[in-house]
Amino acid sequence: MTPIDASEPAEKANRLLPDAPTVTLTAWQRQQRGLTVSLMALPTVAMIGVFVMPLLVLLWMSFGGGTKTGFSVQGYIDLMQPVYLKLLMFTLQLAFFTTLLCALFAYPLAYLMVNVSSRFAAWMGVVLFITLWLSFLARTFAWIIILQRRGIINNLLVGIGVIDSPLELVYNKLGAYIGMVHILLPFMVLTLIPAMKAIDPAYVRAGLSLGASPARVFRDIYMPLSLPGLVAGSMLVFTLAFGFFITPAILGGGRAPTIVMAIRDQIQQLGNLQLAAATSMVLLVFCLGLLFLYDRIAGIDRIYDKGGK
Amino acid sequence: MKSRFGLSALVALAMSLPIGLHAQEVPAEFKGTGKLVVNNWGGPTVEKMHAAWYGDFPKATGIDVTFTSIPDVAKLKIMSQVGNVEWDVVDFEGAQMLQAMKGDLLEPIDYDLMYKLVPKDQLDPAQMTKYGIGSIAFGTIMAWNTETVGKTGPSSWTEFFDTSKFKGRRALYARPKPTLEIMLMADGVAPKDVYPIDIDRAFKALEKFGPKVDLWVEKTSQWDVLIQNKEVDLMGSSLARTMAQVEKGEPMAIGFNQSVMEQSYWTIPKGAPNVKDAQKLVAWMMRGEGQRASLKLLPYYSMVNKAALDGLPKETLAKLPGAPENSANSLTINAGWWLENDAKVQTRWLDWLSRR
Repeated sequence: MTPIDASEPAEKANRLLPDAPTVTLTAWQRQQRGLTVSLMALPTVAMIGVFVMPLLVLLWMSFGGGTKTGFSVQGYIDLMQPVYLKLLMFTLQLAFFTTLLCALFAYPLAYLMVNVSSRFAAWMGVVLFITLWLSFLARTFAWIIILQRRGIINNLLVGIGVIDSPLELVYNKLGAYIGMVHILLPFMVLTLIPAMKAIDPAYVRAGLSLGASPARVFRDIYMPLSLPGLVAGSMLVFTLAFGFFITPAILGGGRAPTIVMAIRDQIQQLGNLQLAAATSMVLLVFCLGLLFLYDRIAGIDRIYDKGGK
Repeated sequence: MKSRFGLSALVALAMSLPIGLHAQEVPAEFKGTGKLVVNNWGGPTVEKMHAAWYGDFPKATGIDVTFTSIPDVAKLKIMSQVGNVEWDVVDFEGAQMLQAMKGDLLEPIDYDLMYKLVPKDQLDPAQMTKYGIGSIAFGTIMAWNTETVGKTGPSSWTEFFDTSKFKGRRALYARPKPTLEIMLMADGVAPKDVYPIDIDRAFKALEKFGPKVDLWVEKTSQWDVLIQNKEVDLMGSSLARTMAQVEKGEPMAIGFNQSVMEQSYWTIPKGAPNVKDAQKLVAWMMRGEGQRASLKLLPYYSMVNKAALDGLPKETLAKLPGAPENSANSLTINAGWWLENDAKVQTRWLDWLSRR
């Protein structure tokens, strides 16, 4: 959602390092601490340079930084038009249902990959990764070939006489959903797999041997233990879907306008960087708020737990 | 990088052709040793066109030219803020140029230098401004599938939306420019009376005609896919993209009546690394022979140098949007109007889209 600036100068690294400790330490302790500091330095610098700094720049720009007019809240005032709320609501809806559909499809897929022979699982993994490597745009256009008026599906259905006239499968909200679920599905599957792998099969066996039905074992043992993966996957997919642009723009055929399209227009058409920055900030705060809510309900901290706990 | 290579090959090809001035005929002040970065819209069409247009410039002047894409005012603004402008010459759309002018981001064009190379009376004053001179004008035209719609298609935007006369699916650009202009013309406004746009009337017409549009097109590259797959039957599409498909044998016909032209401009950013040589390149691009070579290759644009049309065969002239009979009833986008009203229109447009 926020532009990531990877070109942060490297010389900042030295300034941000903590000063050498003044307490007397044994040589070994000093070495240990030195090692920790040097190992932590790079990620810290990367974190500040790649995430914190651009975010601060964005915040500064949203209040008129870099403009001739100087400090102002005009960007936020301009945002208070009903159209932005509408776009936000639609984007939210799109992201929510995309996440839900991804979860529904990804869960059995991940379950299959964890439980089939490792060779078959490896093949499935390769297929999944290949989809990830292909460009978004190529996959978006590929869906058009499949879904369009004279596409593969419609030609087949009309050909065998199931339907008389082609179905409207693309250039509407349905098309946008199909494309987004397809593109984001691998992210969900790939976060679910390690969570499912971490589940000790002994728990499942124990449940079954104590007389619980397979459905009960799934509901009371397997499902709760795989939940951290589902929570992490949903967060990832939701966040990505929230900032999605090109797929709903093309496959939606103008019927799935998202808030990101408004940001694009603000930058490219209107050249209003302040408004774009303000919109991005509001989206960010909104997203954080949602994640906070999600944490209260689902418990994000579970992600860091080991699955078998 | 592949496309960059392709361009160098084309430039080399163009340089080997016996067009343009020989090195010794170039006025001394056009000689140089520097390097220029031209920011254009990219893609194979643009590369081919530019190679024919001014591919002989490096050899004749000794100034090297490389390309990047795509023109973006916001990017230029940031480059100028941090004091690191990377582009020497930029091909801005009209409204973009005005936006850049508003931000004081452009260098005035050196017309005195230009007239040393190109006779003043060859150039169309309508496309000459202080901070930019016309690069190309690109068109949005009515196009239709001759197999589903028939040989004769709509002759006006009003007819375009007449669903009883012309059956089929319709597509337009998913943006207010030039959709508002098209809506007004469909509502019966003559091209010459479109500006200043009556926004309320345009949106009212959009309420009426908009639902007849089955598909709103986001990217220009989509036209290729839509035409090849016969996804839509009638469209307000890009002239160059459509003609490229016609040449590939797609059953498409186009009409120039009430077509919408948008003028782009060569500009030189303030603080560009090589303003001096950039002025030379801009002047060089105004030469009739270069423009003519490019039009012979891709006859879908209109150009500043009127002499470029001289000696073009009749069938080429028939395709040119700038040819007198084709431009007789066309509309040229008023970039100034859009700069004034874009923000207002944009939110209304998004509001309309989000209600569907």
